[in-house]
Amino acid sequence: MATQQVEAGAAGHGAEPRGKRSEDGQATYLIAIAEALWEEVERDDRVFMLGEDIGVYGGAFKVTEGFIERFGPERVMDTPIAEETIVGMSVGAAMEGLRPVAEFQYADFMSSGFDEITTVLSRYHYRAGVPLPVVLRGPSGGGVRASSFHSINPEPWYAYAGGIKIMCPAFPSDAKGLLKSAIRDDNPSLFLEHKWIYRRIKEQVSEDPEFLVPIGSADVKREGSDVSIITYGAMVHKALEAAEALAHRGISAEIVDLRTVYPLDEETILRSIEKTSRALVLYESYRFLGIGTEVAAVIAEKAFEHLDAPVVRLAPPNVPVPFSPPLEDAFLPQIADIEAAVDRLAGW
Amino acid sequence: MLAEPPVARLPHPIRRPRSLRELLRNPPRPRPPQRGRQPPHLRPQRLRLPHPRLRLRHRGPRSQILSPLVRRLAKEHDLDLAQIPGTGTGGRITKADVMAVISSGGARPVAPATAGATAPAIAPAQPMPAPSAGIGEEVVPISHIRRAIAEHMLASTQGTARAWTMVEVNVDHLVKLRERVKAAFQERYGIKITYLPMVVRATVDALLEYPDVNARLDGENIVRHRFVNMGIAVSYDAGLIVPVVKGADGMNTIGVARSIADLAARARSHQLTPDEVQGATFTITNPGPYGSVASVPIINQPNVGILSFDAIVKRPVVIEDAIAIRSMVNLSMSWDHRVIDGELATRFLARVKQNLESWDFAGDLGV
Repeated sequence: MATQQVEAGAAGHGAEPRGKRSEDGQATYLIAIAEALWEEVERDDRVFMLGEDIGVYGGAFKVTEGFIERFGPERVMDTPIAEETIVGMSVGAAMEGLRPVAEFQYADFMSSGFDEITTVLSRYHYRAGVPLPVVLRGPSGGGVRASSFHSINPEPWYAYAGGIKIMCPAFPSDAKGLLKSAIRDDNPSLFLEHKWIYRRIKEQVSEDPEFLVPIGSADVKREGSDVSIITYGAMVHKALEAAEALAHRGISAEIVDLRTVYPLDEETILRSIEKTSRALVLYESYRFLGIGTEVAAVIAEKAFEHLDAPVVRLAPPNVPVPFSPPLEDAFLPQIADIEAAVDRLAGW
Repeated sequence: MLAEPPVARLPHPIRRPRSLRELLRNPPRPRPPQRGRQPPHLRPQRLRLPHPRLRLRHRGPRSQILSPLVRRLAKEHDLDLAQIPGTGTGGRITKADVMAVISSGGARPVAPATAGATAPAIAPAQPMPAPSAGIGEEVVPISHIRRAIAEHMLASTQGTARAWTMVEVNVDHLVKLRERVKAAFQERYGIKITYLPMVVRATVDALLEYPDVNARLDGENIVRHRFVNMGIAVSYDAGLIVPVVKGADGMNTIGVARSIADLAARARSHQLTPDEVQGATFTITNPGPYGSVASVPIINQPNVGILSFDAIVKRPVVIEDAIAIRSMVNLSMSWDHRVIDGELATRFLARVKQNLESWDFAGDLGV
């Protein structure tokens, strides 16, 4: 195995992802995900990957670059452009005892396999008593000028299916630990990688092959006392920046990163509300029936007597993600929007 | 023979379909929308979305909007919200406003801020306004007992660093025991057996084990008591009184039960002597019979702790990975952080819990 220091996305064939960390050992979100895949395919013979252009080409975002040389075309399988088939193959392989990890070039395309995902994958364990350890993964989210076919946040559609665990990590460590947990879990899961984070965020990531992050557990990324911002995915980074600006003005914001959006870690959410009594639910899926809608409902229902102000949601409108940069910026919650919402909430 | 059905008449003559080539050469022009001529369901309609600023309006001043949290805190701490100035938008009372009042010593009446009013250096004496009853109001002068309770409670909240800890206790076997022996006990001793004497016994043992909880703060010193005088909060018609079971550490459960029954009966008939309500080294309050499941009592100074024994309720509990129905009770303690710390408070409560869960009171009850 080669371990030369090379830039992400420019690796030589056969290079394992850990060799693509920066000089000081930091890993980007993308490299952390590649490491998780590499380690799990290496650890367990039943794990294999399938998807469009993941083999020879190395994946649309080069997550799986170098994998086919190391593991061969049976473990890193290039498929036709047919998402319904990809899900169907994964379901069948899981029925036979394998542990498939299917890549979608963009999470938008998962809906081409919608029926297989929502009526077969999510229900088969209930119907037949046979668990399906399938992971569907792909890049989601906007903010990268990729327009309405390459920017969506599909997590609410699949959370509604019931029976599929859904992870939307914001940090490289969480991404690596959660993806490894998802692959080892006997239930189907959807692992949504935010493409805005891929190469923007890096940090020290554990090299321990047994490093796991539990599914269904939120994490307080910043402690605060005046208002809780409950969020996930790329919005965590915007919230952290907004919190820094708010701190200069004497407002202490606590940031709860959901990490897993289904099932929700209600306890961590409610503990935070108990402390701050004010909740801003910030999410990138649509405002109407997005993930934050459920979070807001949980807070209203279970923390009513701890609330000192109404629960406020900040999320994009239910319209296609615009391509025009000024329109996309207006569509997505920005740091100034978060600050303004927190200001209103803190002064309520 | 059946009549031929009438031939349907088409409104227009049927046109021969045009070939694709013709259509491309001569594309049909889109017809302009015909206003007023189409039936309503065919007219183009705009999608009506709710106005983004749609809100239910609050009628009346914003200062009257009380959040659920503010309402709850006011209730828990018995605060008069009319006396608390609000600093939220429009004068709304916020959590911070209520917490400021609580941390400064409870329901301290605060003069409402009047704009621009600065007190003159020598203010003329203002006569106390005579109590005047408005329509539907009743004025009741404060009794001596009420005043004494008020001063004692206020002094405690202002003079202690109160913290609170709660444990859950499985008292299933105590409930079963009481059911089994209550008739015989009444028969033999002439009093009803309640859980309180058992809690007193379990607490006395824990107090002897952790003497810092059975103590008082005296200036620069902590005075530990090597005996237990157990104060028992008793409510009666005039208010609240705390008679003391003296030398509780020398009594068995029957002795404690007799002493409590005697003190409570004489408290309710106003026959307690001053000596009988003094000298408690620790206090237990027992609001359970009225149904409360958790209470935050005020410390009966100079004690450093007060234990609350709330209502026993049947609850589903997890026992060795199975869900079972058990009689459970919340046992909590308000304690003075100036004298003891959370670890000690929790160890002490755990000891009481362990005693209640593991002791077999059957022999101690003599039935």
